[in-house]
Amino acid sequence: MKQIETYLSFISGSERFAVNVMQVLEVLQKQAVTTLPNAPDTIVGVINFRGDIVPVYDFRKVFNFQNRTEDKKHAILIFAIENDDETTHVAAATDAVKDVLEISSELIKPLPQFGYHFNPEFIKGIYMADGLSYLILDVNKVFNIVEMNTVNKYMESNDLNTETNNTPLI
Amino acid sequence: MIDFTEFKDKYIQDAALLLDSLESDLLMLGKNLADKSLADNIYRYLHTLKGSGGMYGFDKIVEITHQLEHIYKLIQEQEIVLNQAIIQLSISTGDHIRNLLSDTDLVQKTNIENQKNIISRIAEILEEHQISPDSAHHTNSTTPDTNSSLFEVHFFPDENISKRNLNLINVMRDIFMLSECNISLQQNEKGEYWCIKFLKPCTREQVEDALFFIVDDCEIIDIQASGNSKEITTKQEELHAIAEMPKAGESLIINTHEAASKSNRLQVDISRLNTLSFLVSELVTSKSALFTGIHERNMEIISQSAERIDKISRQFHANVLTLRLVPLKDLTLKFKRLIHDLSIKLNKKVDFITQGEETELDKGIIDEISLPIMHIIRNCIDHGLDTPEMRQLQGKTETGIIKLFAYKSGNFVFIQISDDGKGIDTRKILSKAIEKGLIAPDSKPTEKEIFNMIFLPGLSTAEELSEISGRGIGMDIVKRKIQDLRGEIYVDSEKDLGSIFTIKLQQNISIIDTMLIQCGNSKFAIPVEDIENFEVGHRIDFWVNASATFQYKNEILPVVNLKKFLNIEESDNLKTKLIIVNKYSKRFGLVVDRIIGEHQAVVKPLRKSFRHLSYYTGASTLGDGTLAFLLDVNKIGQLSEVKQT
Repeated sequence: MKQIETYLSFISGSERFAVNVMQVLEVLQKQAVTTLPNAPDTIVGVINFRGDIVPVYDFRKVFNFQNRTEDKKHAILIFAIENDDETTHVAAATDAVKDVLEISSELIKPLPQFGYHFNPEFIKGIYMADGLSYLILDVNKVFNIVEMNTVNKYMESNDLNTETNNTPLI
Repeated sequence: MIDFTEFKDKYIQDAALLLDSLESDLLMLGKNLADKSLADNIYRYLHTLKGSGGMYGFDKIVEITHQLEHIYKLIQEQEIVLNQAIIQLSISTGDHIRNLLSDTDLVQKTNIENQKNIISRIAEILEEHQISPDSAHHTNSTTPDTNSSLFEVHFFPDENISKRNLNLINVMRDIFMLSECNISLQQNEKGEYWCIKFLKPCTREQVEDALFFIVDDCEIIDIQASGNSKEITTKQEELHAIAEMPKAGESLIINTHEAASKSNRLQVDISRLNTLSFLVSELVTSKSALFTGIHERNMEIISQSAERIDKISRQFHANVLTLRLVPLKDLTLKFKRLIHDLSIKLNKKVDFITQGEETELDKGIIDEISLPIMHIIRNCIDHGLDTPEMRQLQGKTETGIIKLFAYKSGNFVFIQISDDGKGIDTRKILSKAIEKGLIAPDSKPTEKEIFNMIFLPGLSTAEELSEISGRGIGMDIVKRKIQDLRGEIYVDSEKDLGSIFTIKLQQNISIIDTMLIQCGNSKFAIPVEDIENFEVGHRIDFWVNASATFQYKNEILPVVNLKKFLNIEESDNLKTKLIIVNKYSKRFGLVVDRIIGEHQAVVKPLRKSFRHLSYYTGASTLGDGTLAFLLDVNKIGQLSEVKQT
């Protein structure tokens, strides 16, 4: 069954990605991001979006790109992520936001077996047009996995017993 | 295509409210069995639940309310005398119906059990009074009007129904009062609709009256007139369709709805909404004035409007906070129910007195304070109050008193829970505390200090660990929960007179007075109540492992370098600012780069994904749009302690 869906493309590192427009809530061009000290590497900072404190992920760090260009002013995409019946907002900083594309589902090809140095679970497939290749991103998977990893990594590296007894001094 | 699930969700919420009224009236009826109007209320609630349950496919609810309302009908007709057993059964049925609301297809085993048990208990009661369970409700023997006929109504709801905020349960109630109905969801070429078959002959006017609010969306079909000889299931057939009733003897699995059922809805005072509307209109006016000023480059108008807008914002803020306020009264039903259940279980007679139920608290706090209060009440009934016999021996009335007294003072709300029991036995507590090694054997604590020992974890002096209050894990968790809400709890007691627990809470949790500080390029906020003092200008040398100490008021305090703690890059700042913080009686010093000033923080929570950064309790937006992060100094202290060892 052929379905044509609308995608938004953006650039991060040297790769071109495309994300289903239904999952993108907003694009912020000139947003100041507040750094959150001691936050994990993948997070650039947080922003106040519609009354909610939303973490801003750095796609370059999420995908572990080797060649990191200078930190320029980012374009921030706000995604709506589904997680167990809950919809949360997550933000990601990209290098540049590009065009809107109409992609037919039958034109999305599966990823080759190897040749990519990041988690293939994040990618639904590849779309090629006009000599450019777009990686179709599964945003839900990306952020659910990333969030799990950050928490797990913390749990491993710190065996702090944070539940110390709070006996008040009499 | 209408989304029936939306109606179903609303129905579930409305049904829950109906069940609350049912429970409340049952508790009152239990204390006054002869009250006819209360008994009538019960019948009506059950009747409404039955009819509307059928609309949404809750067949089991229909089945069980049908059985129970039969009993109340017989009570109305004085064929059965109401007694405590029936009241208790009705209360359990209410609980069961609540469970059924979330288990439409009756999958849960306990629900299947309870359904069977309740139905068999009802059959027992009917047997006792020699009434066969199959006897239908008497259809009114009034001769039907010559104009009356049997009608079938096709109700096609459209989006406007939910927009009009129509309470379908009430509409259905009017219909059921008129006649018993058979309702089913059907579909024809016009779409999905509810087919309401009236089982009793009525006149067209009666039907249209009953359908008053939805008559525009209904097709009324006269069955007899159109000669449609549709099969009309009689009451008898319905009853035969109900499942076989097993023999009695199994005890009911009573599930009280203890788990605080938090709903996401609020009832708001109209006057507060009116103020809100007024403020909105003022804002619009001021905004226009502002733009006019800008357009005409008139500084005076601009600054006037800006000032006006500032004033309006403050009022908005205050007003919106009041919208979230909920009276304690909303919790009293739960407390009444708890006391009712406990007095039966523990064989104690208890009267519940409330004063100041109208006192309001932020909805967020109300949701969280419910369990701690219930636990305190449990404690009072279990450990504080004596059995009626003991009380008589002491010259007290047989019935003990639990009193809930709430009042507002300044920005705080005080909730007092007291009992007139035997008071806290200080000798017992002291010996248990020494036995468990919680204090040194030779220490001589004051009476007040001993009272406070009940908040220590692991303390329980109950001879047999009662299954209700359990192993003394209770009170320290209660204290912790209250402290999490930025509140406090105190206890006072006198032998043979009773005990008083006082909970002090802030009226709202989302606004905290803080001190804004800066470290590197990041700003942080520390709640003012956690700050004891400031020391500026001292030179603090940190050891290699980033630890340091500082002498303060005859005490050597540990010092934490906040920048190091948060892994912020160091800069050479010799003039350090030291904040002495004090939380849960633990003091230490915090070194920061800059103390900016006071800030009234509107706290927004951080994501769950930041949960592991436990020292951040939230963030607050500053005037320039950036965020300041709220710090939990207690956590910082704890984590620094561990880092050192």
